[in-house]
Amino acid sequence: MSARAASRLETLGFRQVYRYQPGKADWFAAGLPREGQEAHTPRVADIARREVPTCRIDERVDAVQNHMREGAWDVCVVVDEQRVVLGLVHAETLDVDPATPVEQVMQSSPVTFRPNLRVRQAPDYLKTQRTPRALVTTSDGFLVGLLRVEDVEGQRAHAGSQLPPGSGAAKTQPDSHIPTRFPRRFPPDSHPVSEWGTSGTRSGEVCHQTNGHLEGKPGSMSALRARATV
Amino acid sequence: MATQIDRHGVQKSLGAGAQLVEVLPAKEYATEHIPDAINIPLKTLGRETARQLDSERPVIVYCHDYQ
Repeated sequence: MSARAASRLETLGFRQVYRYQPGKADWFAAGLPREGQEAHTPRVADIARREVPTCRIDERVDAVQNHMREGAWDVCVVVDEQRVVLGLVHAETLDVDPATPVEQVMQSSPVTFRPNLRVRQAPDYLKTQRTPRALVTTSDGFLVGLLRVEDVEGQRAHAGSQLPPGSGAAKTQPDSHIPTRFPRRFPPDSHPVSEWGTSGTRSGEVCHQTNGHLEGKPGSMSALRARATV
Repeated sequence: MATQIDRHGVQKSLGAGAQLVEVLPAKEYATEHIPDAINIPLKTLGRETARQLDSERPVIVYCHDYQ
């Protein structure tokens, strides 16, 4: 569709025409701002636990245990120097030699959701994946946070006392300290998610880290049009 | 033929004054769109509707995804 529109504009005399072929699905999946009637519908990025501990793939199990112990976490996310997710470590897999590299005990393809997945859709996705938690990552693989089923249920209960989503046109607004334009890649050791701001500022879709990108309800036609995302 | 642009290019171009156009139907645009995009549905795109655009500035068109 954008190809035809671009071509039409060129026939009308426009000389600088560009096609953003991945479209708004790509934009929202990257957690970028959105505008419109559904802009303030709660998304998983709004409730993801951004303080989830992280570690590097070359760390040892005993170091990871320390990270997790600090916040009483039962998982630790393995990320690269740009905070792209490489895997997930579960507490129950750490009963090994303390010198064991994380790489040997991590789950290499954890379930991930896109930031703009609607919170009300999350329970079905978690159920489908048979997991009580999922990582929220951008379409570039950057870690946003950890989504837990109890947080989803808590948000949904809270939302019951709020105005229904989509009750009027709205525009998500990043906090004033949040850059509205993102760098192509976050610099090493940065924590982009923590700079992204607060509830309602970001968006996302659902995917599985290595299997493809899912849109819409599980099993829907759009979900079946899975695309590689990482 | 129009040049393809990625998300990062869109962000950069918007900062430099490019115009963003969603060519999906109005209902889809109203539901959710990229901030600052205007809506000219493909079905209505023509000489008249294109007048709201500045032909001297870059124009970026998009729809939902690779359709």
